[in-house]
Amino acid sequence: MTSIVHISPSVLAGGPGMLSNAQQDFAGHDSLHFRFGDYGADRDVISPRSHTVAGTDDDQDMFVAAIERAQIIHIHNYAPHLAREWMAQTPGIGSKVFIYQVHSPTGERPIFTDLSEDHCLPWAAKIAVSQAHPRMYPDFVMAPNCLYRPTLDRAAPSRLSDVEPLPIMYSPSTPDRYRWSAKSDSATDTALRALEAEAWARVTVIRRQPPDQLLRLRHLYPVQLDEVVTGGFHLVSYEAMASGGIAINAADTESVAVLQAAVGADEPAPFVRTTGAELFDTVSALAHDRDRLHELRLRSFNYFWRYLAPEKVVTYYDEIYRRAA
Amino acid sequence: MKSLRGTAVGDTLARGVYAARTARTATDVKVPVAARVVQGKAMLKLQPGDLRALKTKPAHVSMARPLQPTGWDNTLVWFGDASPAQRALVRSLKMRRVPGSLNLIDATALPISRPVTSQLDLIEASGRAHRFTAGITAGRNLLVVIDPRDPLPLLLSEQWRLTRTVVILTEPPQIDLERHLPDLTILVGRKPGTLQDYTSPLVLAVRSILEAVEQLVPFAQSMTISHQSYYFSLAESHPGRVRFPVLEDQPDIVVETSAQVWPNFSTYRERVQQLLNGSENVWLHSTLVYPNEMWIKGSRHEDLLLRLLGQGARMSFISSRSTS
Repeated sequence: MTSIVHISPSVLAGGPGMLSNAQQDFAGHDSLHFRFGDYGADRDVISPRSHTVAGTDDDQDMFVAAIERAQIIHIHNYAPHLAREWMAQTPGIGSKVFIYQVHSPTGERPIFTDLSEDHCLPWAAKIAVSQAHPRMYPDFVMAPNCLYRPTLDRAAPSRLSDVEPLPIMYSPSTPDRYRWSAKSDSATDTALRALEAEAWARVTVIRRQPPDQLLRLRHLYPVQLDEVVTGGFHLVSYEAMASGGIAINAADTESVAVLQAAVGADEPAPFVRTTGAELFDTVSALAHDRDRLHELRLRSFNYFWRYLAPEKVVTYYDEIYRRAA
Repeated sequence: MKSLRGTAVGDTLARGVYAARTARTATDVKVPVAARVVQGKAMLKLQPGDLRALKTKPAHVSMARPLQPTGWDNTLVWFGDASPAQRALVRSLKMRRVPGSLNLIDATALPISRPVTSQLDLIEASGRAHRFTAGITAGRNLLVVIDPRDPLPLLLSEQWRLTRTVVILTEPPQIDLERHLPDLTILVGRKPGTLQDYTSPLVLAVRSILEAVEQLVPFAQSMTISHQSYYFSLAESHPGRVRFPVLEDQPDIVVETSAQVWPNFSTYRERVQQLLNGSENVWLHSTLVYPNEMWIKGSRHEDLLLRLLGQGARMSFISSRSTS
């Protein structure tokens, strides 16, 4: 058993919290996640097992005790000032193994800057999430995000009937239109409107749904749209595959290669890659070929559970920790 | 603040804008856009019609329209104390309107809760300022900083990699500029010329805001005027087959390979090195570089590729089997 403390400035789409939970539940580690900001009820539900630090004396006592016990201190994006102050006061802090990980272009800007250097900590390893990020952090090791939620059902998808309208889910988490965090553009908007007008399609746009509920809903949607703008992909694509849906995104060659390399897969992730301009035709082709639709759903589902299942992802991090220690 | 309209300076500026607009519409001009370079040699910078820089004449040269940057994505004016002089400069820039959108960063309104007194303060203030100005990190930005009181805007300008920074001093600097921007160029008593002359942040020491405007506006507009140059590199280890990708479409980088590119790497630097070792051609057609980016002359293809990819360039692969 390894004692691990995760520190992040926000919930980061649940990334650190889900990893911490999976490390507890699958690897038997003593793993805790402390969130130092990004407050609000809608954020709290994203990672309910994480500890939200408000800066109280109790927070400090709990944090310092956890740090004192920890072998690994895993910092996601950056450690806020308060966390560093408290860490500095912790006995034995000099003997800890510090791991840095960069996650998300959303709400954690600047993604293009290596904030790890600003911490002045002796990093034993630096990790970039194996999506679009490694190209911006070329010397970081790569590891996938950990998708682990109690509502994640491991039942394989069943075939959609030939006459049923094709359920399509689009769940943009932010209105951003920046380089790596954009979720839409005018071409995507146009394609979605065109799809909504078709009898063979049933488009559902979901915003601000608690992630546990959203993940349960995903099992009902054979086609799930990540963004088709940036060349990257996001946790949405993991969720689509995990729930037996087809992940539609615009992942470029490098994003796909990075994921494949990080998980040691013998094939690239079976994303359906398209652009805003081609989105309508791409979805239409899936809607009108239900055999292919089902085959792609199965491939996606199997890919996730073979390479990205939480119990598997935990082992990738264990290996990084082992090499770093 | 004295208006420049109708003055000799104003007329000159107006002619400059007209010339720039005229140049931008001359889309029939073609320049060499690609040439064969033995892998490992330096990058090339080709000006229109100029192949004399090449020691070895390229075996293949293609012609296409040059890159035509339309100007700055953002012109950001960082003003820290909202003094009458600073506001006068902002008004002047609004009036003169350099290419690109004009955004004002009112440092007094930034969500920075305390003065920047330490490196840690700087980091945290930087984070908050980044959120405040999110969305411009990948832009071609001109950041004008007037009489900085703390190093924060200079730190930001370093982090926004496509940003060119001009610091204007109307009074003796309150911070150690060289400490925070060691590569900066300080001009005292001479005009800045054009952007092409500088690859480092620039400090203009001026006697008045009027002087700053007279120097800054033509400097900013030179981004558009001197746009006719083209940047690329093509690394080729197997001569004979050369094909040029469609230049004005994505992606920015095309790798031509003769073998399957198997993703087997633990860091992205390894990936890029494997690509260069195993590829026949690497084509760069990126709009992500400045006309005056000198780093493109660097001797390592790997660094160039990583920098472009880090800035958001897209890469794709083609198989040389289909191009022979």
